[in-house]
Amino acid sequence: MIVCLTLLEVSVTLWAVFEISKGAKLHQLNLLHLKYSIQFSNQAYLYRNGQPVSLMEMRETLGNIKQQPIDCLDQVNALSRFVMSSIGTDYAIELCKKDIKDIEVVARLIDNYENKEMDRDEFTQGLVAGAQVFTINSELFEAPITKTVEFVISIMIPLVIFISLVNIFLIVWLSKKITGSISSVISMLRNPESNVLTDNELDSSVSGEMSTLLIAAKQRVEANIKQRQANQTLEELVQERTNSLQQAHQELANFAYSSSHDLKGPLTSTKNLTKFIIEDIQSGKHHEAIDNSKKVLYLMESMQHLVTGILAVTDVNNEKLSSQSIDFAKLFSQVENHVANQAVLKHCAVTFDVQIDSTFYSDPKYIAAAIEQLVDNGIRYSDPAEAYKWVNVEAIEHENQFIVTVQDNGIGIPEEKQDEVFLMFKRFAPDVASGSGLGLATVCKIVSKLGGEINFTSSEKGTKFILHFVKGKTVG
Amino acid sequence: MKKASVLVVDDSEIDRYIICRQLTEMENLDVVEKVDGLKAFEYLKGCLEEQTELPKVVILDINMPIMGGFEFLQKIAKDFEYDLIDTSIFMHSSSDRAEDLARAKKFSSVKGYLLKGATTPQLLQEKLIPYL
Repeated sequence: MIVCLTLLEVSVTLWAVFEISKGAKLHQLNLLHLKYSIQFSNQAYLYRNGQPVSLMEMRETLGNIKQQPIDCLDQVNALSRFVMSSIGTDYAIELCKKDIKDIEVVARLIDNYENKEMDRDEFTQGLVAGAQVFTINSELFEAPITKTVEFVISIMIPLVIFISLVNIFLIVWLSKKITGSISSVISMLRNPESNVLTDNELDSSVSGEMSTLLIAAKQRVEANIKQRQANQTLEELVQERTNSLQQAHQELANFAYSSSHDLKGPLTSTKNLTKFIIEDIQSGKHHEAIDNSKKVLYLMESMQHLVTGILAVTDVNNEKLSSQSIDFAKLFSQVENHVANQAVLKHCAVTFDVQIDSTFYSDPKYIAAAIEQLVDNGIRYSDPAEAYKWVNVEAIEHENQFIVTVQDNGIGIPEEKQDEVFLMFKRFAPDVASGSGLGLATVCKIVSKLGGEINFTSSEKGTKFILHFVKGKTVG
Repeated sequence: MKKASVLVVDDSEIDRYIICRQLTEMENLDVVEKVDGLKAFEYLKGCLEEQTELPKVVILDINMPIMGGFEFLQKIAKDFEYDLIDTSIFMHSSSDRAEDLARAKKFSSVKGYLLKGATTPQLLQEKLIPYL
């Protein structure tokens, strides 16, 4: 719209300038016409007074005079003709045509005189009259041209001013509209309660290119947010993996340290004891040699036990599990058989109780191993001061869980050591019994492998381990 | 000549036997055995209370139940700050981890580090005699 108006303004201005310059040109032509008319008039007077003026010269002057109306007619186009006829100055065109005819008449007069068809007096009268007519034509021509130019100026200048004003007004209006639109969008964006970026509000409050701009910006921002979120998720994942790797690395380092420490100890002791045995035999102390040999044997056995224990923990990690329906009564009687000798030795009563109706699916071998280890610990760490030592195993159902508890009235786990219960190579009561420090670590591995959870409570009055298994949760 | 006393703190009966037997090759030595840091601490406390003679040297294991070697060092540093000036401590462990060695060095009472299995009667003599 603004472009069209501007184009119109420019073309109207150009046309006005062109018309005005044309008016100036016509003035110039008229001046020339007047000049040649005066020249011809002089020639006519000179000729009448008998001065030597050739007919040839007069013809030339006539030609010059004739050129102006011809040029004048060339300048006038359809639009000029329309404008001139509208303001009643089109008679100037007729004037030009008449002028040409008048000139032709005088030219014929000269021809006729040359052909001796008229006398000299008649000819000179004709010449003078013609010269007068030309001058009159010139005078008459001036008025309509001036009028036309004045008209063009008086119409075109206000028109150009008007179009310019309309143009300015339009530009101001449009820029106000754009500014208003931008400010309303800015205020909407600044207002935390307005959700300008949801499509509905966008449609209702903003339109046109502003809406397109907002949609594009919104898409861009959304893409950026998504990208950032993706990056963040990735970073979190990397951090998580790094942490778990670091933890695994730490566990491995601890494992390597503890296992090598636990193996190196008996190994170096064996070496020293062997030296003693040699000394003892050499010095004839056979009883001492036998005692030391027994110590070596004990150390060898403990190393064997340790290695078997380590293998058991790693086996839990590597072996595949089977899922079978668990017959607790049968499983408990197996455990009972396995721990019977030790229980008798320690004067410890082991009791079992099953209160389960629904079917519990798990790996019987591992369930049995875990329970046996806990019962074994219960017997091993029974309180020597207790008159009646006992370990009680119970399997019950509670809501969506199977719960196995192994409780004893043993010496308990010291409170400050309770955080380390499930770590490998941790022993808490070497006075009472010596274990590999792997039993509870193995139980913990088994339970988590079976998809269960293990926790415990312990005090000086005894310890209670509780194994939770969610019903229907698959193992593996 | 009055016998000097050495306290051996180790949870392993066999390790205690070995170190004690190696120590008996040195003359004029009384050897007392304790199975963990707490028992050793209680023994020292008893010595101070009854004003009996304190051991000149303590041979201390690191990995022990109830109270480990480092815990014992912290406890005696805190409870017997000035009472054990004449008692030197030698760590005795199968751990040759740099962090254990560095940790032991931080205690001014620790005068040496004996690696289990690497001790010989000669080595013990060399290391301990200056402190007996």
